Amino acid sequence: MIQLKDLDKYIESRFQRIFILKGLNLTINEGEFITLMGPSGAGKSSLLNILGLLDDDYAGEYSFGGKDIKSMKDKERSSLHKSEFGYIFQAYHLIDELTVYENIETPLLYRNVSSAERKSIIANLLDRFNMVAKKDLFPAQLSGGQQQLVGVARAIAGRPRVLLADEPTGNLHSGQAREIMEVFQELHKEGTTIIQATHARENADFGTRLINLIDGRIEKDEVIIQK
Amino acid sequence: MLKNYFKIALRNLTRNKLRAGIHILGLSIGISICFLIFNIVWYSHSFDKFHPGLEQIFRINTLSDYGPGESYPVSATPGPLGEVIQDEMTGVEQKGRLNTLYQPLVSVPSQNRVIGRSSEVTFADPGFFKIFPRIWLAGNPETALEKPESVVISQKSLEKYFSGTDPANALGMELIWVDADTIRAQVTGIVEDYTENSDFIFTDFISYSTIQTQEQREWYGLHSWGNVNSSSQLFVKTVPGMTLEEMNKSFEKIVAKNYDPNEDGKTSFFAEPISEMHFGQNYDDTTVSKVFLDGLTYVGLIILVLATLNFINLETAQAIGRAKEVGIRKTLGGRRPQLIFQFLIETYLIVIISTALSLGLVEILRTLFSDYLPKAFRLEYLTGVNLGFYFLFPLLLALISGIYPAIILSGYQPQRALKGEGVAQRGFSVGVFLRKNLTVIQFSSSIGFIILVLVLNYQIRYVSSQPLGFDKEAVMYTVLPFMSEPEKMVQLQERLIQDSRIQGASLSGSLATSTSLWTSDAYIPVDTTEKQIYIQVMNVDSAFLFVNGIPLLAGKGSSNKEDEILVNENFLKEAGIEDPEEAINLGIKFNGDEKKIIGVVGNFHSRTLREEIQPLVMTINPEYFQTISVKLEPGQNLSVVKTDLEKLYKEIYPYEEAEFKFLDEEVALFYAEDVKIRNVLGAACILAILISAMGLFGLSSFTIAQRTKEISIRKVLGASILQILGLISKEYVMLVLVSFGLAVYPAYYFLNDWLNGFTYKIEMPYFLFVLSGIGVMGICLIIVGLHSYSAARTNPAKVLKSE
Repeated sequence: MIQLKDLDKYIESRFQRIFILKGLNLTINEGEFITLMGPSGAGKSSLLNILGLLDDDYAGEYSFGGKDIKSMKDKERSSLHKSEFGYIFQAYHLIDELTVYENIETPLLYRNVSSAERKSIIANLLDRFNMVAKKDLFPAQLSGGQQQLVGVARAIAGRPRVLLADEPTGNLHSGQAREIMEVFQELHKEGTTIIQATHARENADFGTRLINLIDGRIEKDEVIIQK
Repeated sequence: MLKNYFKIALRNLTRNKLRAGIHILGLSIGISICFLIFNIVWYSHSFDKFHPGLEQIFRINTLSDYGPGESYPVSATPGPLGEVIQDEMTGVEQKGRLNTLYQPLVSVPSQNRVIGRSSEVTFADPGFFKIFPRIWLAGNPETALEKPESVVISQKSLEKYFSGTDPANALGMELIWVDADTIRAQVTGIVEDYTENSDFIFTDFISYSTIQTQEQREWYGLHSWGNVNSSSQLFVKTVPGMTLEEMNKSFEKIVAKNYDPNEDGKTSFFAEPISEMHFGQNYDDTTVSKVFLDGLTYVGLIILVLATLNFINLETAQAIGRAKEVGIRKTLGGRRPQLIFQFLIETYLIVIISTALSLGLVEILRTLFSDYLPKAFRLEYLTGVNLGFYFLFPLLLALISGIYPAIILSGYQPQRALKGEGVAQRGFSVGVFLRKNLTVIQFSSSIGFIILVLVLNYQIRYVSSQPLGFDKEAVMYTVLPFMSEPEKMVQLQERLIQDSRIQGASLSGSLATSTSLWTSDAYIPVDTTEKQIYIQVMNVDSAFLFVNGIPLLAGKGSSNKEDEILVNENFLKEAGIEDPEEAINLGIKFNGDEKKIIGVVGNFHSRTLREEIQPLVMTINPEYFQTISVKLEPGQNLSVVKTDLEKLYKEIYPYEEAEFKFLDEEVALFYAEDVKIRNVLGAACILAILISAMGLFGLSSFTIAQRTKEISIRKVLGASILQILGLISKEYVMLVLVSFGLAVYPAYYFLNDWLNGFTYKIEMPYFLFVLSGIGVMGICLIIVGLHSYSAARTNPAKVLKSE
């Protein structure tokens, strides 16, 4: 589904180019659950941003479903971005002024989903994550784990095929982290392609493939056998 | 979607109560002023717009040109033009003539009742009602004004003269107007009053043909081409398609035919579109000058711009706080136009709330400034125009003030904004540059306004504290009826003197100081020839000097003899006579007669201090006395005296309105226009300061909050609170200095111009300029200081820990 060929990302500084990603070749098939690991600054987040079409400042080739991203028009890219990708952040990044319900609703609004359909989608999600009682609370009134659950619910509300998660458990303690990972596993079983970046090795065990990045290169690419 | 936007906008507002309060209050002040000024301007443009065929109706004006600087336009025409215009000019479909009467006394003979004086009486020809058709309640519109001694009255007059009478029954009733002559006429028609705004205030239309004899024509000044009397009004309705230029061109023929080209003054006629009449001369002195309206509009716009700048300023400064939301929304699929729209909605909400609040403020403003509003002006909130204002203005304002912050905010790159680095400023940043400039603009206008107000006030106080050369205290005066019999005036004077509370009473043509002016030339013998002196003339009796406390330098006061005159010091100076005693018994020629100087008086200001004291001749001409002034004994209860004097006046002139006024109030009126300008500017000044201060308050609270980390680190490194205050204030001191530099020249330019209008004026008070700058600097430092002090007081450990 996703193919990267000779992908470079660099910053021009006064005397030299500083590479963040260098000569990256990567193929991701539909239904994979990939974990990106590596030390800080290895390029995990940068890779996720490029994959998620949030960053188009790179050299090399990126094709999604056989189509080259760079040759797409803005509108096409934007609709691809809306329909195919969901995002989860380390810092949750919920909109503080909106309630749980409204946060989950926001991506649906941008997708022009009808009001009745929105209601049913959100009701399902709230039900699934046991948050029906919390739907009118504001993010500040929730614990970190709960906020991240809202983040996940919001990310999958638009039924994306690819879920991108940048250190989704980085701010959570182990119990909460485990809960999120189990949700990921479930989504994966339903067919969602997941790409997560993490520092915690145990999170990789939930996935199917582990990629180690060091200094912008793929150091190791191994298959994880599910227990 | 829209609901979501409104919801988040509202929550954002309630979350930042202070910020929202500043935004809303600032904007609503701006909007309320705009609203009020908009309504005044609209009102002023609403006069006489309802007449059918408006574009083809003109009033004819006359211009007498005596060379550069001496051209006098009058909104009137010589009588003969009204007679011949339709014959000598093509394209005139209809002409209408008015000859207005100056305050005749109206009475109803059938009831033996005197109604009182009215300034709403005019002669009118049948054409007038053809150009300006009315709704007729009784009478024949075609013939009502044809015969002499007929009159058409409006419903308002009908109510006043024949209260409760049916219009049809009022036909044939007789009315009398006493001008200098007595005019009798029978009612031949009743028309409805205008409901729209109109400058045609007249309620009694006497048929023009009532002026029949040559004697009458001469009395009304309608007999010759050389006589232009402001009462004589001429209106024309042209054939469709005739332009103003074509009209003015065809007047040249008439001028060529009727005026001698070798005359001193060149006369020309020009047409004035009827819709412009309210800005020219009208019939109850309620015209507004377009200059004043423009000035008002500028003041309003400046205030609105200040408020808008505030908004843009604060909003862009707050941008960093919103960056995260932008990042999230973009990640979730929000596109830039959608985000721009969202921010505009938010702005719109603020503007809507401000507009609602401003309507309340308008009421306050209206009461505060009721003296400055047009007299008949009423504020109606639910007119079509105002509904349009409520709807369109917020949209426009939201767009203008919201678009820049919206574009800035929506431009953030999501992945950087979420990390909080997308808005880090390196080197030159448009945002910071703009923000500082906007602040500078606000400060400069505040400083400019303060300078103007202070200097205006300084000069006004200077002129009102100048010695005038006469004693204006405890002098009361009243206006005598037009062309009153001299015996009656003397009778009034004698009755007044009998009152023990009155020291003296004087009859005169004008007050010791007034806006009216009578000028002439005097010829005095110098050696063998005569020297011509341009003089001001006053018509006064013997008591005038005593009542007004004007000092006599030589000779004696007048003894009411027509061949004796008094002169002032400047007259002697002009004549080259050094010793006042030498002038006594000197004969001069003036007004065609030989007069003898019997006394010399000290100089006194008989005009405003804008003008120099002219050589003055005091003569006596009892027929043309128009005022009586009295000097009161000290220590009187003024309001009691006033009522008693008015009672006495009523005994002599039972049909007149009596009102005694104080001379010092009359003097103060000279500068009423200046005081008005000062007060309007003063209000603008207060608002400008208020808005700028609010803006600064919001801005500095924000920028200082941003620098908390820096402040904390400096504190850890050993900076004292004072050093930190200095550090933060430095930036603002620079801003104020730049603003001061920008404000000084425009203020100087305007003031210099204004001061040059006065002969007696202060030196340009530069210390007031400096004072204004220091004042604004003080306000600025207090506001910034409050914020930075609390920032400097916070415990650095707390701030740095959370980072």
